[in-house]
Amino acid sequence: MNGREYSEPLAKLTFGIFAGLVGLMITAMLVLFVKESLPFLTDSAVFSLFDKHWTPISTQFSYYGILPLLAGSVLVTVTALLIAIPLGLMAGVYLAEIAGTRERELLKPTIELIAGLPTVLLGFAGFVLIVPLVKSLFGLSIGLTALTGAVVLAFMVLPTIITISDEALRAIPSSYKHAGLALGGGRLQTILKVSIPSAKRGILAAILLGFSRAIGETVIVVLLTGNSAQLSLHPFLPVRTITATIFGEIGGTVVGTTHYSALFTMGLILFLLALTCNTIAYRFLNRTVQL
Amino acid sequence: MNSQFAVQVSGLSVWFGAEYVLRNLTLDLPSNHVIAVIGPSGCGKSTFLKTLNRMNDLQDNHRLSGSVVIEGVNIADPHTDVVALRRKVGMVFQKSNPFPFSIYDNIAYGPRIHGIKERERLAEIVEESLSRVGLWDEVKDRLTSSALTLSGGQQQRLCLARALAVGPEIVLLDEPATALDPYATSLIEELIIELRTRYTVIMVTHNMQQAARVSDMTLFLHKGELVEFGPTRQLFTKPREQLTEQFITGRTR
Amino acid sequence: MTRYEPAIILLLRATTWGVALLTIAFIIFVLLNGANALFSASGYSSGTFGMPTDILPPLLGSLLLTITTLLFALPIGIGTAIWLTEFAGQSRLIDYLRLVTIAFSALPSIIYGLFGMALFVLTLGGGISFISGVGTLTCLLIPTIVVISDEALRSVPQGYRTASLALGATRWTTVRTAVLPIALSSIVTGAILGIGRIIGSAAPLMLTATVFYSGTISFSPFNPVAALPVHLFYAMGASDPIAPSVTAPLLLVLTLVLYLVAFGVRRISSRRITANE
Repeated sequence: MNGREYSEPLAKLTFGIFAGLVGLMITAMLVLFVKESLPFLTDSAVFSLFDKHWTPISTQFSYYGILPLLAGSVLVTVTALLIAIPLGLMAGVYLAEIAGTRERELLKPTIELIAGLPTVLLGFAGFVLIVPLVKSLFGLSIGLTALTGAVVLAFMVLPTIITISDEALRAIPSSYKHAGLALGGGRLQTILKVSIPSAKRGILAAILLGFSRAIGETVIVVLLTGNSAQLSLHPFLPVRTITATIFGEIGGTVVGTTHYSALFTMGLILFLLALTCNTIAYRFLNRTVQL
Repeated sequence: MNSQFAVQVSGLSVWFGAEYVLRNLTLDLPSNHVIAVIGPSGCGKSTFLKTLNRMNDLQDNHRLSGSVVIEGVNIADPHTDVVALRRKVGMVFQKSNPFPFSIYDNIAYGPRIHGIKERERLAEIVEESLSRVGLWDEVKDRLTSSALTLSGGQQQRLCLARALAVGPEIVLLDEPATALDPYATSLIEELIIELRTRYTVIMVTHNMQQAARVSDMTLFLHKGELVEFGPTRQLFTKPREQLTEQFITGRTR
Repeated sequence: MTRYEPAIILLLRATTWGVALLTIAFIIFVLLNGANALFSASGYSSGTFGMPTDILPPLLGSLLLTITTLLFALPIGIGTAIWLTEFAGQSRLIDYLRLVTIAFSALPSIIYGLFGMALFVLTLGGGISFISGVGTLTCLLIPTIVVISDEALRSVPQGYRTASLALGATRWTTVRTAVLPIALSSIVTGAILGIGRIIGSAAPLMLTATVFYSGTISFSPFNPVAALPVHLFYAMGASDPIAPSVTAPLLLVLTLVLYLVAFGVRRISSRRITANE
């Protein structure tokens, strides 16, 4: 019976070490991003953050204006959400409240599949299909615009919004719905006035997570939105997102330079933004979905 | 059983956080008897039972003091090997919880984790345990089918067999027949009476008639305190305490 | 409102079906594109197994990266989940840890790419290499594995643990014999979906493991490696007309196969559970 005496504390120790490693990794990530951003944040160049130009490799004065990049990210993300949220909520409501079991069993996995697709593939299809489409539809000289990226991004984000709002709606106790129906409301009326308000938090979580995914996406925007770091909010012009900037420029920088550090600062901003959105969203979900 | 008393309790007190659940209990439980534990809801019956196999440890903020001696060892001591304790003191729960494995694997689970590997020995134990609970003839042809296909009463008897397979000396039953229909209940009750020859049975029940039918001694707890402990027949016909009389005649509070 | 109800329901139905059909259309488009390229003999060299030689390094690279990453990420991820659910007890701190891990599992992959670059490529001196890639992908995958394993373990009914402990089993034995076997199929399903994420990641690898269009296979883990999604990306950047049409369908097929396997595992295990009850 001696084996038993050792295996329990040994198991507890081993798994504890693994858990510790994960904790270490998470801490290391935060620490590293802050550490690499510090040189920029403590440099005088940091005051150019609110400038309208992003010209880090200029021969004169380097401007590290985040505004054009932020505008790019926000434009693309918000446009994508403007498409994905209505469509996603409609589909979520349909799946949760109206579709029959068989229909659901068919549709849900298909839609969930999108979330598993490599974004390069979506970018590829977007490049071959959407870019010419946008170009001809709107008579532009190049099809690489904010809108192009937003359309494909919307597709990428749809399954997130659909699945989570579906889950949130299904977590509503059916007694609420029965009460609404018994009071004489029609099916849709009950959905609109009872189910959706009750699932408010879950639906908000769905949107937050969709936003987080969209703003953090790199490959699709690099391939489809052109590469112009001009401050503009016009959907038919090319833009440059924060992610595209980090991705495109980090290879060309030297470690320790202001440029390198500025890019990590961008990364830190993205990191904290996504982390905040995710934490809030999952907090909401734990209250509504997990019983 | 070599000693006269299976369990000797002295000054046992149990707390869950700030809640004082068992208050200074002292009593000796004789071996090879069926002892019923009765009392109003919340009086600490289940807590008392779970102290005997240290299953209370699973709950947070659990604290105990006093001594509980089983086979010469004070199992209330913090250094007790609870794993070895649970081989000697088995338990059947209110809601049957067979593993989602085959009937055979359910019974063999206990012996296996305690080191018995030889197939013949395991098969012997499985047959013996199932026979002791009267299930052998019913299931011998489908030992490999899932335990979840059995009826509620059968599952509960299976859980009893599973506990017996480990070879305990004391068997704890926590309201074993509450979730069962009258027929299944009567089967369980017959079993409990038979178990007396080999084991000491301590059974929590909220059914007074059941306690009267099945047990030799009865322990009546009220708000965590020992009110009365004595031979069942005497406690139910001529209770010494007024509280006991009020409880068994239904005039509590 | 009731008057418009059938119309609105129709709209909802059309939207949902639209999304699903769009997905199917996408899959068909990519596959057709590939079929087209494979059958056109426009000067594309045919290599081993009838595939253009160019596709082999990325394919092998992806497979090796994935398998090696799993070797690290699975034990660490599942082990952490076991610690969280079975050994760490209940407390607000543990709940926060869970929340943080879930939040980290949904972070953009470029964050992991930057982290991997700074840690493995630069600080630890691994350079752009296979091992830097594995390190980065492992960090990327671990939170996801922790989350799905944790969910799988927590969904095992508590009654089994209680029964096992009452029979005199230690915590670890209980986990090993009464909890893990039941949670296993969910963990496997989740792991397979995690694999899908790894195989499709381009950005992290481009920062840590790959260089532009290297067509040769080198077997040293300290050298750069090729990977399917990266290959596709570079090919598009180089305006290569053929390579994307082969790489894309291949990547898609791999992803679909993984997805179907995960789906199948989930179906089989849920059927087994309902049959038992």
